[in-house]
Amino acid sequence: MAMSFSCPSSSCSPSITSIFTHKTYAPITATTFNFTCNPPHSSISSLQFTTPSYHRPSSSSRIVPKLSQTEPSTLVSEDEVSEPEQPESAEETLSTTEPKGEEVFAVVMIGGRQYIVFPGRFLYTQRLKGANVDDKIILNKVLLVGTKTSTYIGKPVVPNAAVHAVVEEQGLDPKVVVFKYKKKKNYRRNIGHRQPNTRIRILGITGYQDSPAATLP
Amino acid sequence: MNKKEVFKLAKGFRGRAKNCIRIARERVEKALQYSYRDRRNKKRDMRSLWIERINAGTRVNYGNFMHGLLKENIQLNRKVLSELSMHEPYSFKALVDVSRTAFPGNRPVPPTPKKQGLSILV
Repeated sequence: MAMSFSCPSSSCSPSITSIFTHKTYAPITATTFNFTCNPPHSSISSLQFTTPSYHRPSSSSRIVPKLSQTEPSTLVSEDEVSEPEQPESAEETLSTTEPKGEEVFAVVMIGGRQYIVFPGRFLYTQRLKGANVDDKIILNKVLLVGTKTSTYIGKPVVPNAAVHAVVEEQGLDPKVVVFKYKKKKNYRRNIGHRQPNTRIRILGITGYQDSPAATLP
Repeated sequence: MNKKEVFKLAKGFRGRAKNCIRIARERVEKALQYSYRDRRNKKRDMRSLWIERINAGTRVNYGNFMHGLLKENIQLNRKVLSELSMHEPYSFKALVDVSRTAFPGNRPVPPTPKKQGLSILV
């Protein structure tokens, strides 16, 4: 990619920080945007397919410069962890085996919900307000990372772990009919509802290597 | 709702409820009421299913397991825990060990039932 322009931070609405819900201790300067816009052609070229197939990741190495946002300061959690972060240095050295190497998985929290995430697959999440299509996104709230031989358990978050994803489309859920009825009182309400959602495709999971892990002997 | 929409929603209903508008309308309204109520019930049901699965996955009981995780400030929710207990057994074992060291400490072994013959009657 010839040039990589980044979304001018000012254009991204400050509400985005609330989506990823990083309440920093430090005085918040609203600079902790975790995604930038990338030119759609180059880095997303291989992601143009629209088939919702869960195929294996092509190459997570293809991408993505580590973006230069102020990540370390925004490791703090969100709704769940209200207290200051526990020393995540509590180790345990157990043994676990997982499908490894290219096959890692992570448990990530988006929009208040937790998902198990594999590189190369997509998932539907709540609508991310500031993100446009083909935006790179970095998810910081990684609660657990597993590889073939070890598991990194976060307390509550695996430190320095990040999941890279790209926004594929912003659509709506299928329609749900909300029908309210009270008998003998002549009360009927018929309302349709489509919840906005965002489809994101996971590119890779990084940054977990130095954290304490439980590994297989 | 007009008749076409009602009949579309009434597919698969039993008897005249899929063909005759008067009956179909009643049944469709009932079906929509049930779906409204059950969207809320589904959340409860799923949570109890996850708890059952987690309980099955740990040999320590569920309450102690969750207490141990709470103490260690691990914030995985029950949905993810049940998925891990099904598909990623080794990760789940790591979590169980964490919880054991956190809370009960020692490892309770489930008692093995002893086989007793008829001699106990004698």
